[in-house]
Amino acid sequence: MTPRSSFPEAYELLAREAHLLDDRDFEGWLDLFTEDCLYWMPVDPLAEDGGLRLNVFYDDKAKMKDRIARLSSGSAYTEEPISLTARTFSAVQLENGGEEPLVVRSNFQMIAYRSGDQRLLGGRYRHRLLREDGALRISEKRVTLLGSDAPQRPMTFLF
Amino acid sequence: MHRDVYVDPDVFEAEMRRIFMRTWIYVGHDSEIPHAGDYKRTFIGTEPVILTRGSDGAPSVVVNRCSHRGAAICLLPRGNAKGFRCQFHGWTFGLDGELLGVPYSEEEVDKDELSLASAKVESYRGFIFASFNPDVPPLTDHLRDVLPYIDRFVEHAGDYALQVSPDANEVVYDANWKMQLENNVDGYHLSFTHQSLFGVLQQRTGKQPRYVTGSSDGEARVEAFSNGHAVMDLRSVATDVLRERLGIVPGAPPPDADLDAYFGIEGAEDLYLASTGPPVNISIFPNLNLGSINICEVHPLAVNRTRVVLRPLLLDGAPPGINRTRLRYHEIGSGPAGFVQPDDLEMFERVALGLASEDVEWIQMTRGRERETEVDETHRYSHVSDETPQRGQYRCWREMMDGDA
Repeated sequence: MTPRSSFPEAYELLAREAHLLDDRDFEGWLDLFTEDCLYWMPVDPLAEDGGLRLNVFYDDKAKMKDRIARLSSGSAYTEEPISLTARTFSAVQLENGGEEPLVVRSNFQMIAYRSGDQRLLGGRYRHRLLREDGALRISEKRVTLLGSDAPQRPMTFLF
Repeated sequence: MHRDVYVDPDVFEAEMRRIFMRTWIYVGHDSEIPHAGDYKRTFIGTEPVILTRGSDGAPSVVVNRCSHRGAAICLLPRGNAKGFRCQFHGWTFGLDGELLGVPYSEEEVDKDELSLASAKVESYRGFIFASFNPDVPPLTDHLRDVLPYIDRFVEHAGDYALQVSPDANEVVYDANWKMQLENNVDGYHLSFTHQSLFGVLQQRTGKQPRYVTGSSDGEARVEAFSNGHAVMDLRSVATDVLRERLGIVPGAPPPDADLDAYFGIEGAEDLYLASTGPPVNISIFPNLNLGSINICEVHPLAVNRTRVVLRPLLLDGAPPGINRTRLRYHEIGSGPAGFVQPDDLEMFERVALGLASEDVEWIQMTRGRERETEVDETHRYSHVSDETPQRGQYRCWREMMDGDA
């Protein structure tokens, strides 16, 4: 597969991910990730590596499962009533000339709505995509949120 | 307790004057400003201040307001500087607030008079406090009953010096600041507000974790002290729960790992288990909560709005794997996407929603009043689920609010 041809496939994966999240199909979302994945949001938007820095979240797959299980438990009270989200992403670009494993940068805006309160959140995504059994999977999703280092109301929904 | 304590803007204004401008307020940890010229922008109540480290090594706290026309002179959360320059008309100030320069000044300027107002500063074991009250008693007198608990908090990881993470998890909620202070020593809410966390632990470990039950009369207890300070001491009751939590940390060593080999030092097990901090929460009236491995600053913004700043403590010189564990442990619960803190904030806001009722004026804070042990007027302890600490906080609150000012 030539690098250029990866773009539609990567774009399609990002779109599928966005819809799964906004549809609250969390199990389906989880299936997009590799087993040794990382899903994270640094506190410092300029942080390069989150390992020895503080993050808003820094989840391996097991903790992503915990996160989803908690949201579905009925006792994560910031999600009672639930948050609804609607996100768009754009300015999608492949880094490294589209060499695999792919690094995909994009910008996002998300409206998170709960209990009459509507919040506009935005920032940048960086996805690393690996090919497993012919299909692209997310091995890392970094969410750089504008305001991640500022006081935030709870953000227990998924980015 | 009358609802006005949480909802009346006049009460809030009086609190800023009578409490925050009059007692010791926590402003930062030594490791946040380790070098000469380091500074941190923060607040004493709603008063904007800057904590600085002078060239002599001494910390100062000055008002973040140019003495000329009132512009804030420090906008960055932290940094290093030789001094501060107001960008409006170029006035310059030293790290201790001394007025150094007034551009185009042909008339005589009283530099003493126009230096930045400063607060009294004292520290205990790295915790820096400031007060705008020149007659405030010595800090160690103010903290006397909780000094052993602070010692225990500082010493929980042996000889390693504590290094506060420069990054912080910050949250804001629409309810009164005192909710956060009370909550740190509220053993009653744990099994209910945080049920979802215990659910996660149960799923991951196959065991039912519980800190507190209504009937257990183990060693865990809550305690109220002089000057509104309080602790929730979970002692042995919590040990298993905390160790189980470490197991769900991303990147945790496998259950059968040789920890010395895994972390590359001898005696790694103790250091690894210390990643949960001591099983005791300390509330230092009116704006500091210590618990787990966190320093939590409570910043009142308005009667119904509060900012909370949480920073985990790392260990200077410890293996990176240990500090990674501490960071990941902190992230499980804390911050706007944590598994613990958001549910607390939710409850604070539900209280604010409920207190909209003007018809019902009083809230209950009486649990354990009959069974608590009264050591003296201010020092009492009781079952871990009792509201003894909160009553202690409000005894101090009332005393300060009733006093002359």
